[in-house]
Amino acid sequence: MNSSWKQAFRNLTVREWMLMALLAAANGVATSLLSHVNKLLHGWGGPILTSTIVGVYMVYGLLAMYIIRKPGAAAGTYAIGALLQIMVGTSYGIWSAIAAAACYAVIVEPLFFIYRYKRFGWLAMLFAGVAMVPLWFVVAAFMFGYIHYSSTVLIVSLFVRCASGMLLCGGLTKWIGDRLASTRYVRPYALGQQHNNAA
Amino acid sequence: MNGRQAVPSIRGKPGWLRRLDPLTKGIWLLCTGLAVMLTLSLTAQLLWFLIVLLIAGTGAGWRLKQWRLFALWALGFGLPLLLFQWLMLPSGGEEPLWQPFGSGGPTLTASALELSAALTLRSMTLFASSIVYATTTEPRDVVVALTQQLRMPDKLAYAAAVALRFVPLLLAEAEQIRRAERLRRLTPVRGVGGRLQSARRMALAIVRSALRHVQDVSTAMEAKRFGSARARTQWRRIAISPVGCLLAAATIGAAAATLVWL
Repeated sequence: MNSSWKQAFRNLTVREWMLMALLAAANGVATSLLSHVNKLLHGWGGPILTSTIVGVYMVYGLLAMYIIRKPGAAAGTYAIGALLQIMVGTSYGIWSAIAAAACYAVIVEPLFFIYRYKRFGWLAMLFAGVAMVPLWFVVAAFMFGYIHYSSTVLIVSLFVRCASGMLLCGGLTKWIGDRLASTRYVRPYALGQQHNNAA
Repeated sequence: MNGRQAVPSIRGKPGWLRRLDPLTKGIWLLCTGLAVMLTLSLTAQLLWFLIVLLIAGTGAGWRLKQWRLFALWALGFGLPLLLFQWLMLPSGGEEPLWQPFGSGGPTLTASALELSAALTLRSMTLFASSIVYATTTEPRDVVVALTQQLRMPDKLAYAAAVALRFVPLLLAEAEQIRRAERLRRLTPVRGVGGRLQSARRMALAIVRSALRHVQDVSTAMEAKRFGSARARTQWRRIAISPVGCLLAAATIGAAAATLVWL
């Protein structure tokens, strides 16, 4: 871990770490509730059907970034999520937990760095949801053997994943975040403070 | 689903895997995953799956109920996946074994079956090894190993431990809100719109109540000055056992042999 990442993690307060832990736990609950559905979709429809709900698994890190708006918020949340999955057990194996977290973090963190942690509109969030998809798709294709399917199946899967990422990750994150912005529970975080300043 | 189901129980008969430290067991887990992901040989996949089953059988101390659940889960997922991949994977112009939908439909060939079986076994090995690790390892030992041996930042490791505590709490909260909602409504929800609205209300109620917990926990941790000390003292110590080293070394060797010969 290089010093800039250490610095980014050091800048996060205990309250922010706890929020990140909570979001990772919420993802753990959603993952365990959806794991049966996901395995069934994988068994009966391979990469295409599994791709329909992939966006739900990416929400927690993006939501952390939406609420905290600091460097390292998404990467830290995805790292906690991966650790949690290792401790609880994951149906896709330890490498998928680590690789998925790394792939999402590698996209989200630079993206919001470019946005200077200031652009959180619908367009930015929907784009973030789509942008997080391709890298993990390529890694997962090698990991789970999707590369052996025909190119049509792969293209359709990627398209479905992008749509799922846009709506179920970007869209859902923005929707949940906006509903929480006015509540007293997010007042200590950047989202609540910016909402109060704007009101 | 209740909280007890979401977090794997490590209770049961004590097996030798439970006595190993999380780090060497982690090396076993990582090497097993790496070996099955980097080979497509059916023999190698079958061998690795049998090794994981053997390790689980001798060292995990699973009860019959846990084995039944595992078998149900593996078959319920593995068989449809095997058939789906056999149908969807390219046949490579080979003589078909069977054409289930007539001459115009997809063909089932021997090479597609072999590839499908290898990929299915790979998924099952990844799943089985992860479950074996989770059911034989104390989460607090993982946290201690991460901070002591891997020098991971305390905040990150302990946040993962806190997240683990949050899981049953969130599930209990969700169940309570669901029951309260049902009592208030008295009549069952009908239609897709009604269900969506109910899910939306419930999701927001859960998130709000969970955020309340965040405030309580973080206030308590700040009061105890968590993260302010330069070096954290440790009460628990994790010792690396010779059996663990042996398991890790054997897995590294087996993984290397798989990549070279299979």
